[in-house]
Amino acid sequence: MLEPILQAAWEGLLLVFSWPNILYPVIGTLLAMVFAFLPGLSGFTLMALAIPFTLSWEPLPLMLLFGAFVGGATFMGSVTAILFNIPGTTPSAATLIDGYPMAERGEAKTAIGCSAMSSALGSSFGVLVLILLIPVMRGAILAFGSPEFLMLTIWGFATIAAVMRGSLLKGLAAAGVGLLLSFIGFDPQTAELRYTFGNAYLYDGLGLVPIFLGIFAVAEMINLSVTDQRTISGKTQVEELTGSLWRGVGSVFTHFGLFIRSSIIGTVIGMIPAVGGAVASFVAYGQAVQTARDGKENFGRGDIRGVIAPEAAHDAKDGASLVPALAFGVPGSEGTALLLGALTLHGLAPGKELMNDHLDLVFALIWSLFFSNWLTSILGVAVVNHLARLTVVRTQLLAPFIFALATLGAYVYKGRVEDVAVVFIFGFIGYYMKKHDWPRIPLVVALVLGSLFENNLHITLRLHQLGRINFWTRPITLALIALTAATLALPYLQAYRARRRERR
Amino acid sequence: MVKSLSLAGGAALFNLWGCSSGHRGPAPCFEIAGRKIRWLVPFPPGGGYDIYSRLLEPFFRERIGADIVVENTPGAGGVISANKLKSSQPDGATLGILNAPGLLVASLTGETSAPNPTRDFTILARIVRNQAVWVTGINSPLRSMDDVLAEAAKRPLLFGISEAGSTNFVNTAVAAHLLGIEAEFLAGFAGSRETSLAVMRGEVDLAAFTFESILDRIEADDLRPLLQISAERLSPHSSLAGVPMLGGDAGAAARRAIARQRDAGQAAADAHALIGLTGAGLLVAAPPRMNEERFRCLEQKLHEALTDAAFQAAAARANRSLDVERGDAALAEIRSAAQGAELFVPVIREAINKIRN
Repeated sequence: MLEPILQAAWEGLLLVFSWPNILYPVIGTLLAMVFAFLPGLSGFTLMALAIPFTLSWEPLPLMLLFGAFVGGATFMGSVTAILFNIPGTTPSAATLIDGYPMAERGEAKTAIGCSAMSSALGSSFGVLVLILLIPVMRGAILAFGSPEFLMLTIWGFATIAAVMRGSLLKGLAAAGVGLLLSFIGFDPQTAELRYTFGNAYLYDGLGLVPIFLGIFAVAEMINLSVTDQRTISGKTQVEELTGSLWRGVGSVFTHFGLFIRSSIIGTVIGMIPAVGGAVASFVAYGQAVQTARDGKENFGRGDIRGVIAPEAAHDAKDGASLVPALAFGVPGSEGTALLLGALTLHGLAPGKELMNDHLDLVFALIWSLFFSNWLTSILGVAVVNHLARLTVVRTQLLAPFIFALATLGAYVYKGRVEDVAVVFIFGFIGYYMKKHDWPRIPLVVALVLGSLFENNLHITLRLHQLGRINFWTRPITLALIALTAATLALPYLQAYRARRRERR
Repeated sequence: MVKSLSLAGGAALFNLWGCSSGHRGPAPCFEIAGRKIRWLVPFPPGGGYDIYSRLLEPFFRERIGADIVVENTPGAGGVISANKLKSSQPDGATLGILNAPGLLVASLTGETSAPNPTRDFTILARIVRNQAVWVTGINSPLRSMDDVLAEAAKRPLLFGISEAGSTNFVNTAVAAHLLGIEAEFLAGFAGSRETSLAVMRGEVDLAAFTFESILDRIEADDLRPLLQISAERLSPHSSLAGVPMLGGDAGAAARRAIARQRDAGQAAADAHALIGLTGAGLLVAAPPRMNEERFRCLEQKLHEALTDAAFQAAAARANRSLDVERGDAALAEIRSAAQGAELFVPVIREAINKIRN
């Protein structure tokens, strides 16, 4: 069984690294990086725009190009998160929690180097798992039903406890507000409208993108504008920056256990249809805080482990999200939704036929994604010195630019002016939360997980009530219950151990 | 930040930067040359509506003499995009695709502020009818409609749906009513693909999908079609051989009515109305009150594009079926469908209330 897969993997590799095929992933990666960096555009924009131009292409160049688009669209989002506190992609919102404070300390180079290495290795991990799962991917997807999704979100909530700093009450209140915000729009069960006040804009709830832009980027710029800080890093000369690229790269190996755990989280979550990378990044971040042996005090203040975890999870998700896409045509992420669209246009239906008859093409896609992830990170590292200079740009110049970027980004999200208003409303909310020491992360995590939790809670309860499932006899569910219990118990266990050590 | 599926502004920027196709087509039949037509798609990129739009775009562009900017404006089951189209100027610069069955159902049940496709737009064409099938998992004990009816006599059957009020929900609620099946609904699946996974896992007994949206799963032996919500065979595809049809004088609804000692003629008429409603299809529309000259021009050019052999070949290659109809005829059909569908409003409301209670 393994031999034909290995042979197809080899053939796929040869297809990618032969002339002129290699041009497709190279050009695809460069385009994706440019689009990801340009304000208002993204790798996904590029994919949709490219679809009509590739209609007459053969399937192989299409696979190579789109694999590169998926892989090349992620890393640059983390760069803007680290440098400007702007989540370039929704998953990179978790990277900015510690990445931006590092840039504020003048260590942008370290953070970007760490992000590049964690991202490249994380994607390799996801691709490796994807290859290993090919023989069993259908079973793996079908094993994850609503009870498993539900427990996964509950585990995610458990990580909120880990990321809370300061007042517990404030953290819980922020999480509660996040949950309430996630309930805006149609009730997934009854299709009744909630908290929409008759406004069609709110029917589908508030978008994560405008809220993230507001609560992080705009809030930060307001804060910078009203304080005396002259630049993001507080320095005025490039020479004063203290970060080291290689320290960042090496940190992934120093914390290799954390990297592996985070990659596993990204891979598992990536395989779950319609969950998305933001969940993977935040859950991995929470896990990083939770498992930190030296306590969580440094997180949120520029701890490099807070960059490693979300970056590894986010990129490991890319390969894993191809599992449901290739097995059943169910997109596991935004990028794979467009990839599936492009494949469909070429008459390549995901599923058994694609996996049996065109496995070499599938591998060409996988290798192109792999190649693109590494190329993006290498190019990112190559220009890190230039990027780090942006942290010494004066606030008076930077703040208007970021405000404009946020406005444009919000509008491009769905072409709706209301999203621009949401950005600025949440910008002020975020600023006041920061000023009065209200934690923003619990709000964001609850918002990301809220609708997933609600939906799967309803479905699971109903299935259990109807006798269609037994919640308590499902192995993956039970494993996730145990993981949640362990996550909640770990801080107490660590505190108990610390007390015992002190007594000795 | 800006990295999302929606491409409205992105596409616009792309064109602003001079990346547009530099149209060199024939002279247009009204003053649209050098302008751009916004083409509103009510769902995200990568889905069926988006695929049809992107397939059609080069063929329509060639004929109309203007660049087409495809804008995905998803939200509220297509209502946001429809409202945007409805409130645009009828100058030919904004066109869009409508999810006609969804809008008809929403406007009939009054659940949301959805515009009514029979009166709030200028209908230019129908691309496809979008008719549905009931499917079950390949490992399900329900292997035929006889099995379904036998099981339904013992217990309510559980149908998976994405949301109450959706077209597939109406398909199942009304067809189950016509067949005398007591139906329970499990709502909340993120989309049709996720619902299909629930059917494959056996979490739900059945679900309704448009045939072509689920064809790959049927071909992969994951799902089995059991009932065609149509009066004629939906496709020559071999999986539909022997699969009963709901409509027609000898259709499942009429035969079931006879078995239940009900009026078979009425059952056939009701089934016809349901087929009309859910098959109202994917329409191309412009804002209301468009002047006659523009309407005729756009309608003609669109028809030429939709019947272009190269477009039809591209659609076939992408496994997208076509059932093209001109604007006036498509409008007449959805008006008739809307009339017939009013009969179902109590059934739909009752099913929604069942879910809510």
